[in-house]
Amino acid sequence: MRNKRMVVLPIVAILALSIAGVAYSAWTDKVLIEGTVKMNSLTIAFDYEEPPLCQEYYWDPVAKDLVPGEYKDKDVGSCDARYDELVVDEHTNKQGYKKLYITINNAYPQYIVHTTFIINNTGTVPVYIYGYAIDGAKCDKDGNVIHKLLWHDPNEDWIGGLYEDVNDNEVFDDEDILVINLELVDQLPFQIDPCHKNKQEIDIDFKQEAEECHIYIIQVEILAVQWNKLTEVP
Amino acid sequence: MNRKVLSLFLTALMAVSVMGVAYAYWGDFLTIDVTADMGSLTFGFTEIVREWDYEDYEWPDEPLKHVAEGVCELFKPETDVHTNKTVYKVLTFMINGAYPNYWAINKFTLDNAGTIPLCIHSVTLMLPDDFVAEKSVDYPGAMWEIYDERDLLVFNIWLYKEPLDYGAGWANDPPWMFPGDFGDEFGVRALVCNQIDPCDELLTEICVDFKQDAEQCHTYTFSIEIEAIQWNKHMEAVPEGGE
Repeated sequence: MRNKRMVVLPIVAILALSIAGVAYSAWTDKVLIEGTVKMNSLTIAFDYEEPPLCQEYYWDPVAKDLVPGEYKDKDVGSCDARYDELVVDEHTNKQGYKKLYITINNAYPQYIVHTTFIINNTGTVPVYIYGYAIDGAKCDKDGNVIHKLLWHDPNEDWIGGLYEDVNDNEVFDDEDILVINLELVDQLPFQIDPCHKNKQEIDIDFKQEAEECHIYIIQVEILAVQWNKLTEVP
Repeated sequence: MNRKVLSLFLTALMAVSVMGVAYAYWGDFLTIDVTADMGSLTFGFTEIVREWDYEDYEWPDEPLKHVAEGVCELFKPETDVHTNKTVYKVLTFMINGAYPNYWAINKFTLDNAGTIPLCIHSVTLMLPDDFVAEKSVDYPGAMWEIYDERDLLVFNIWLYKEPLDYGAGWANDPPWMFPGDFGDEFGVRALVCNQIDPCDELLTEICVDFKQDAEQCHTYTFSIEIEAIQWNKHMEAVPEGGE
């Protein structure tokens, strides 16, 4: 009896497999799509090679024009511009800086500073420069911050002013005091392609309310967007 | 004793004689020779019909740029022994220099180089570890959303797997239905459940579009396996859900 079962079971199994084999047998073939995507990089920076430059000017009442230097060849105020926060593009390995600082010592009303700086597209995507994030600080002789400086551009044409945030609420309001006029000379927005640079200028002149014996520091950062998304910038 | 021996011998002789009479007859034979000439099932890519991308359009107020490029190539040729037609088993889609909002489309053909009708019955997306594909809610059967290890959407893959009814409206159209010289909404067919007869081809396309969270300087990879089966076994082989 046991032997009979042993014989029958394999036969049943073979029959079942044969039936199944008939049901599933079919020719198939495969193809493959292999996708590889290499992403670009977007990095805009102040130029690594050429530092920013500051130049003092004064209004010459005789020539009725701006003249380099200080009135009657005096050396009263001083200005300095430097870049900070090194950034390296992962793709191109090019270097640059994220921030520009303009420091003005011993300034006085109608003290004029002209700053030039270079923006470099160190990434691999074209970008539009659509503005700058500008703020600053009023410091005492020891470098302690007295008040922040807030950028206010009423006409949104990059001709505006830096106001002392006297109530320290970090929002521009009527209480704040205009101490510096600031103008971005070049037209915005503009486009920079990868491996291209663009020289820009900032004009600063001090107002009556600027305080004596204080240091004013202005910080500038670049606002940029990939070239095809300019219309989406608020 | 001798009688017994004799009678046994006679009996045996009789028996043999009787048997001999019973089996003796004239015979003849017929032979059926069976020759089965089998068909062949071979399918693959044959042609890159058109490549175009976001930058091929001149958008109003935006200068024309050539920053990124999506290029397709065919590899691994295979010749059907029956028909002598050659198809390619691998299509590579290489996109260089991508950025958010960039998309690239490639239109290609899948041919039946064999002698048996076939049906595409599965399309399988394969991603590296840490990447997850989710079927699009808005475009089911046509788009995968690809999430990276940060769980952020980095790009979409469009492949016209299943027929869809998008209705009217430009805004609701998938990328391959963009109007204009490059867009060609005609002729593209869905993959799954479509039959390709011998000597016939199926025109379809793949699109990859990139999202804000795609990372700079990164390389993303994916593979899509398209499997076909002889046409009369298609319904048995279609996995649940049509893929």
